[in-house]
Amino acid sequence: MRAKYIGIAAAIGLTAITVSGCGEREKDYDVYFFNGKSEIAESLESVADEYEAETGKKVKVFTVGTSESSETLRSEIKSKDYPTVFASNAIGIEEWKSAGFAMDASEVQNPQLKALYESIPDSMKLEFEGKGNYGIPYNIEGYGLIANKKMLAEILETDDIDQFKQDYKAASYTEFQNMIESLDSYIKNGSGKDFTLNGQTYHIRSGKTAYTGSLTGVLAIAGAEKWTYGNHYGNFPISAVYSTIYDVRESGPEKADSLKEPIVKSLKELEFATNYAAGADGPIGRGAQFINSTATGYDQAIQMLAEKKAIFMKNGNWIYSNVQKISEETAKNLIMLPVKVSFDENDVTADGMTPEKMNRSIPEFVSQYYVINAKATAEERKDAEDFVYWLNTSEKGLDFIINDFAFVPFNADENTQLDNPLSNDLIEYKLADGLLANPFDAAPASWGLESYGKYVMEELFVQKENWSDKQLNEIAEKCIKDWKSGMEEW
Amino acid sequence: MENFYKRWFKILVIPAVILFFVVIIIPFIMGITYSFTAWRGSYFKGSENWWGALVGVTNYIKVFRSEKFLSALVFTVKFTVVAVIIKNIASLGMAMMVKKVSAGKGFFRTVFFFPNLLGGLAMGFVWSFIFQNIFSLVLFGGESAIKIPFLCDMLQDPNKAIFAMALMATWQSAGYMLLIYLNGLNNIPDDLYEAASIDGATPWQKFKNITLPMLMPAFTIVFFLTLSQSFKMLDENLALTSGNFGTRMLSLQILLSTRENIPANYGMAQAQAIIFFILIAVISVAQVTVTKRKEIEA
Repeated sequence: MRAKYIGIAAAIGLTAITVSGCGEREKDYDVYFFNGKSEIAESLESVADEYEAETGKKVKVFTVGTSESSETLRSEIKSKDYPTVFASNAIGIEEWKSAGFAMDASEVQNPQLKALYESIPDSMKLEFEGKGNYGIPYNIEGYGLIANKKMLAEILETDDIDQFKQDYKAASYTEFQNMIESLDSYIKNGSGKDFTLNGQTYHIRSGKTAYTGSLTGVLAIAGAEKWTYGNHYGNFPISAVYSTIYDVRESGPEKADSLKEPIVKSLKELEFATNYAAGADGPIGRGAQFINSTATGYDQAIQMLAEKKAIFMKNGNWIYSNVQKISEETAKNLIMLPVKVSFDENDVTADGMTPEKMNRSIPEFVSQYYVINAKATAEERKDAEDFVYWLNTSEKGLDFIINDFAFVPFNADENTQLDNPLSNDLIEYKLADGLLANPFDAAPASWGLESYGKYVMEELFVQKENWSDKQLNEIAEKCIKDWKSGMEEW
Repeated sequence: MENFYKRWFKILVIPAVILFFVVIIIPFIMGITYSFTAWRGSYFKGSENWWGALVGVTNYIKVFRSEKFLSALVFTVKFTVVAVIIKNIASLGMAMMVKKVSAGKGFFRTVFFFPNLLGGLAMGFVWSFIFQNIFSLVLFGGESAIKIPFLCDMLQDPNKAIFAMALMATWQSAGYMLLIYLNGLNNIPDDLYEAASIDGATPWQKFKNITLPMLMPAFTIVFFLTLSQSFKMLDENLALTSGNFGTRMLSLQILLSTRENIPANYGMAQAQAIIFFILIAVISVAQVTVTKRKEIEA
């Protein structure tokens, strides 16, 4: 009969487990921060320790890998142990605001934090429908054409890469194409024609050197990764037409028609670039292998740049740590240059934007914001505010942001120095008015990957022959059609 | 002991019933309800409660108008037909082979079963390497002497991809189905075959008139398993093609549709999940009914 009691006990036990978690209990932390960037998960633990040592307040940090982050936050924020500070990107705020979780700056109790909210430049404020101020930026990120400056100095036989940088920024699209062609000829034949940038003549060395000997192509291109072109090249046409993410959300569908010619031009630039792609053992042409994830993935492209098989790679300042793992030397020689697209006055219709500015600017954006949970209790919010303020203004907090997270702080100025040369370049562009906004963030959510990026990969990258105008026009039209149908969901 | 279970049956099933209610039934009912609302995951659009956000059958209409959903449905059906046929032929063939082998039966069974232990995602990545590099560059393309274009770049064409995915799915699950078939084969009395031999039946006649009818109970199970497995396939689809080149299947479509709008349209994703459930239920029940009818007693 003992079995009977065991059976009943098991039944009760299991039932208890099912319904447990419903009981009341004390929270064993003061601040619960739901972080949205997995790169800084480890450093945040040290931040929490430091903060506790300094103030006695306990911070709980929780991080999920980026792609499932919002699903997890959705359930977490509705649980009893909700986060008191969470991360949101510029467009995700619509959800948190509508659901009542995003706290506006006007409700901030800590006057110093309130001042910090107000000090955020307008272009970086986290607004919803053009109103409010809901978060403090994590950092600034940006992307462009990343180059190995030592490689350039070696091939061009010049010591003055700063001059090259200035000339490149001002150079026309034709000059840019001539430069790529000359460099390609150098890689293939050991010599290349002189070319000009901004009217200045650059000379190409004759014969390979130990440093340039491993080059297999001009550009490292991650053909298998839709986001590297869908989310980046796709942004240039949008930047030509829309000025900000709010402009994207508030304009009518007819405005999307102006995207057509800019999209075609961005595709032409991709066609040009893919003619000069570096591969593991030699140049890699377009075709089935160009989108083979084991040959042209993100890691492989970074490896080609780091191992000096390519001179350039279009990507963002975040690649630094990956390059560093392969080659410390290449990593410290990286510089950020603008991506060139042949836009003219007819293409660039966004307010305040000119073809000249687009030509010398790089896109920069805030990937995540700290948002305080409006549904937390007043006391919890107070603790959360103090933590966010401490992290973003105290000497120790800023030290974590700059040196441990390796972030570019949103309020960086000429005194901010980072190890990552690409991040320093971002600050330079920012100070020199060389920024493009990232209206891409407001595009229909899957547009970059499932429209622009998908068509490029499935129809263009696999095609060895040149791309016809008819083909490019059709793709541009499909992208616009997808854009408009995505707008119906807003 | 028997008495004990009989007497305490109701109490002993309570935990299972509670769990089933909490984990399956309640979410399912909520899911049906939410599929009729403007649910956005963390809130209901335009209202505090779900009843204020009811939108009728709008979500369902949207689903049936969605090109992505319809093409995923068509692709899933195509894949399921191909996969069920290949899986059944392969596993039955292997089962008959293993039954015939006298030495090392256990070894073959184990080897055939191995792939089943691998997770779908890991296996998908392994096979994507095989399709992209081994098939396309080493065996059937590139410098190879044998050139079979159909087996090159299989993941870059929806029709070839069906076979690539079916090949991988078969490799994975044939070993499991083999065990069921083998059990079925072992249950066929040998005297039937002996009698047939005396009457001068050919091997094909024996297969058609004895093995197949006697195997019907095993068929019912294997058909049901392969059908629902193929229809619901997610991991392999995600790892092999990520749904590129028109290879998105229904499970992946539901998963991705919560990422295609911001804020995510969970109401519509939920409507897809309900349609998906009904489809699987109808197909499985129909199949089981039909194959059951063909079962005979020895």
